[in-house]
Amino acid sequence: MLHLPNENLLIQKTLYEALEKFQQKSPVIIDRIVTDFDFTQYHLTTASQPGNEEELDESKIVLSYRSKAWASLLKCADNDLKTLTGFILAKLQNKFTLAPITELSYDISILIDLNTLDMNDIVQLSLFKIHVLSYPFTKSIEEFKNLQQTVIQSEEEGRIIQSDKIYHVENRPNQEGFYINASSDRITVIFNTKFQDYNDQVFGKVFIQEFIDSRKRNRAIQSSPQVLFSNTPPLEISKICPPNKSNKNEDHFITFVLFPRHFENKDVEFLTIAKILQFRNYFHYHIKCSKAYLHSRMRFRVGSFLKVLNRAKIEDEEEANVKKTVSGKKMVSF
Amino acid sequence: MSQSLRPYLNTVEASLEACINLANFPSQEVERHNRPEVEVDTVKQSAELLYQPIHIVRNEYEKVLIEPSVNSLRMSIKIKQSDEIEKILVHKFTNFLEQRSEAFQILRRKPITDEYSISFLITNKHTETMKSNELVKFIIEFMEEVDKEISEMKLFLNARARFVAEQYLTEFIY
Repeated sequence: MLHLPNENLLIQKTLYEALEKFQQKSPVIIDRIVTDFDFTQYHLTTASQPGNEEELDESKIVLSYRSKAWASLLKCADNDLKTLTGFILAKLQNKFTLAPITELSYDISILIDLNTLDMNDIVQLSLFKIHVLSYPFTKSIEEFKNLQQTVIQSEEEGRIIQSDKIYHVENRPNQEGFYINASSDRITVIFNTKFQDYNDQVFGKVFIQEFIDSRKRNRAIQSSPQVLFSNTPPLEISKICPPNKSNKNEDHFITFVLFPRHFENKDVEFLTIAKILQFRNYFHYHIKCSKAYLHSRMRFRVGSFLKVLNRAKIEDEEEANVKKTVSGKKMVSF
Repeated sequence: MSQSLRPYLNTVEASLEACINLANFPSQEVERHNRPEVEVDTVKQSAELLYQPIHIVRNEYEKVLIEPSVNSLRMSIKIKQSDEIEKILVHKFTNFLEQRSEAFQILRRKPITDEYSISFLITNKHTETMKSNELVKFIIEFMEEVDKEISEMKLFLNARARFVAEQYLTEFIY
């Protein structure tokens, strides 16, 4: 599997099964926990009747979502929960409503009505994580458009205004996450990633180098975002991200420079955001894959070395002199 | 194979052939003990049982040390590791082999010092059950193959990284 899929297959399957059974008039009660990348967890349950906790309403499903990124997303939305939930519901074409009570220890719960659910909705719901995390991106794109207008109106060619808003989303522990900063001609996305293992770090360097170089080398992909790398925080985010003094090599900042063509319309914008959000997982996943391959290759090599060594063994000629008694005892004649 | 590798391997082969002349020799110090003399504690070693160690050095990254004795011979190889990745690959690979040293019999569980990547220990028991010229052949083939394997793995890693990066970035072309 080369690319990691954007949608969560388990959510898709669960909802599809639930819908199918519901349409066959034999609704099922579901209670399923689904996990996803970046410490994301979903909980799919059959909703209870409004006003009566004991009775279940089989035509409705509650989808609860929890993620490490929620706190920083709220910060991006100026701690206004309504803005954020409103944004998420709008992303799902306002087809769903918030559940009356947000499930305990989850960040957001939405109510799904099986009477109105269709296939497209299921796909959209399986992309829930991306919809949630696309909030800072959408804000940045808005900012970018405003800044671009300002530049055009000011009639000063070549002037670049940089937004002083930096969106920081921390979706993993150890301060791993990404930063988004808009300016009048581009949007910069900076990932901060760390490696727990020294070997991963070295392998990671090889991979990062290829990300940087492949755009230069391969003419066909020159319109892809520019990739930059540094061990110290890039200038765009140096204000809010002080350099790590204790261990300089621990932080890895990978910058993606998105140009206007990467978000010129809604479809392209969605694909770009989904792909960018997948970067960290894709990157680490392929490092692990290479290690697994090398491991199996070594295993094979050991086998072939053993064969060579076994050639050196002297055939057991004594075997001919060994005779066995009826009871199985060995008799050796010299 | 590069030009300079052949003479290096030839020298190692010739030296090994000369040293692999081992005989059963019980310990002089402890009664009823029979152990490889090269592995005996340096304090208790008897100088007359150890022969002159042989260093064969190709360059700063590759060298071989052969320590012969009356009943055993120890050979340590430093495998070429010119950068960080090769270092990791060599370390992983030798570790992998050492974990399976039971199957390999002549492989030592650890290299003698950190300076070397891997060590072999051949005793008179091995030469009694195995053909000594085949053993030498095995070691020479091992040295050849290991270099090849390490550089192939490194190339693979680079190729894979390139492919992965290009595939990722291709997704941004609309």
